[in-house]
Amino acid sequence: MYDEEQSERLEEDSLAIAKELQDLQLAGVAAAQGVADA
Amino acid sequence: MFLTHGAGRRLGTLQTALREIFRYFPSSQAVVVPRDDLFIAQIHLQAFILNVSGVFDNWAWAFVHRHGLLAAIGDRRRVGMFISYTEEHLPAPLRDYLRQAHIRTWYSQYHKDYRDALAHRIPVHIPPAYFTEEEAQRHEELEAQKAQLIQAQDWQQLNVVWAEQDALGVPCPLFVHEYQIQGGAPYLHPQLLSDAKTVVEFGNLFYEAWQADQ
Repeated sequence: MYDEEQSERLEEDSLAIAKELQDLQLAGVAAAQGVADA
Repeated sequence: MFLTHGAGRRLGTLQTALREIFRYFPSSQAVVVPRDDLFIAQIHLQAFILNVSGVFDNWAWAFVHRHGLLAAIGDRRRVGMFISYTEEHLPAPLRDYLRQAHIRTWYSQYHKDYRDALAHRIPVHIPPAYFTEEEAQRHEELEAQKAQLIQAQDWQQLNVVWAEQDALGVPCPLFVHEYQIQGGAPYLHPQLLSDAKTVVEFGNLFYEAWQADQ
């Protein structure tokens, strides 16, 4: 597996990237507004 | 439609799949992951890989529809972010991103292979454990015993053998789509984060270009 430092970093990064995916999802909603059939 | 019902839904799936993989197979896992938990992590891994592929396809289709490019591209099968017929119509920031050597390598030598295997050949799976030579030998012996016990319909003893087999080894944070690992297999947690980061980087560029075009 990973050492303790690597493991903690992976856990932290997973939370940060999940948030970035959520922000991207919202950016997509904003982009689609006003565009027919987007 | 491709942005809201396609890409939007897939981005939600990617968030959930990532969270659940880290829940059922934490990067801090010290002992072999229980069989049921490993299976759930594997299902989320499969959803993750297919939806990474799908979100790029949705963005490609949204772009093609918005700009009425299907006739110029010539064929539905030529629509895709990693297909030159589509790529040549993209705005420069998107084209430049996709043409980076590490992105081309990520797609052609890893992602496409795992996605195609999952969809059409051997589904991606997480090996149950790393074994020492002795543990591997014991695992094989137990596998043979299981076959005999199934023949004999001795379900009680079968459970005992399953339990011993499940306790062998240490966690194996890799994923593969063949039984034999050739040329190295990706590490589960860092690879997922790298894949998600690629989606986020490209997605942000895509939506910036989309907004700038209005």
